[in-house]
Amino acid sequence: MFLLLKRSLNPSLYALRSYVISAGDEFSAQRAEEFERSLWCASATAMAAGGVGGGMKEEEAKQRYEIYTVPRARKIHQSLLTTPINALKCCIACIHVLRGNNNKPLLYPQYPDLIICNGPGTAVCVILMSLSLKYFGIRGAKGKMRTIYVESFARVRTLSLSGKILRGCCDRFVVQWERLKRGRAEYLGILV
Amino acid sequence: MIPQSVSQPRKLCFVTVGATASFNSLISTVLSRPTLKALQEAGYTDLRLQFGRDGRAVFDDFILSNEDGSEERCGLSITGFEYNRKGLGQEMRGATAYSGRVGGVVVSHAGSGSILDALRLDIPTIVVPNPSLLGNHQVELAEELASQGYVVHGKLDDLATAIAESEKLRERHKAWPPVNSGADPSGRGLAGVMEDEMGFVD
Repeated sequence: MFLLLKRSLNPSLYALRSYVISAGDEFSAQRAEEFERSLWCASATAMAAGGVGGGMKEEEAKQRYEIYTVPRARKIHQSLLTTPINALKCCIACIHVLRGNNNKPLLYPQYPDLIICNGPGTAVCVILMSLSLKYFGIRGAKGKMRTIYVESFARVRTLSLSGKILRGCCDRFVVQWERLKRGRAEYLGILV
Repeated sequence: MIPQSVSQPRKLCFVTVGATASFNSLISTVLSRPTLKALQEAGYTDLRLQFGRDGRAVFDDFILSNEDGSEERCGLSITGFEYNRKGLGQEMRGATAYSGRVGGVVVSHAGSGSILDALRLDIPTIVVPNPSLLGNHQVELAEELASQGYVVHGKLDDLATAIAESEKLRERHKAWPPVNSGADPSGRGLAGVMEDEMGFVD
């Protein structure tokens, strides 16, 4: 995910960033911190070189992002019978995330403008909850939360389970191998 | 210790089995006589293994039964470790050509993270899918990347050939990430999709 963002995310266009990770995945939390730090370092370097943009103090840069931890939607190899209970817990947590219940209420508006995800079960919860918020016409949700799903680089010939579930309900569905380019799936080459 | 000629530059083969599943058959294949011999013939001086949670027994067994400098080690300096939570990028860098070292090779399980790490560091990579993960889509990734000439698809029964092939890979040198001109005429990639969705107009 972070290789993908590193290549595609322009921090001056997307000034506030939220990362949703599964409980127990400290590795991803660490990667998110490192990624944010690299964004800040790049802008500081550009500033020092006399370029435009950036120039934020580190404290200020830390206000620009938030890392949320939600319960795992499905444990590895968990039976499909007991998955719904975990998935429900995850979904409830995701609604809180989307509604912007964080410790930066002044800076962060409710509901993100854009959601980008790849394949973990948590992503399914985030996307489905964003859809239901829009479907039920919750105030402020309309016209926000455009969704982009990017299938994992590791999926060459078949979509992942998350991909199959989300294929029909994301605004954009991007795959990284030409063989998966079917229907509304878009192929733009390898993105990582 | 078998005396190495002083002038021989260091050349590292780095092996990784990843963090999640154990892959002891790869460890024992790498430490087998034909593979070590192939490494020696290709000018390797160092072999470093990330053997994973369950791999220590296999590694220790080899180290204890074949002492340093014994013929079984084929003149290689062999070291190993379980895993590094901070990622393996730093370890892999040892297989790039710098300060008196020549470029080596990465032998990786078929996890996309490890493969991408190696490709981005521009190190020839041998990808060995784990046969005990049956029906796993990782084999497809290894086959596809190999057919496009980015990696060597290594098999457990013949790693020696894969090592020879990896030298050809080094000569061909196909840059990563690929240029996606054909697939994406706009050339904007995912950033373009994001901007479309946000309604940004140039």
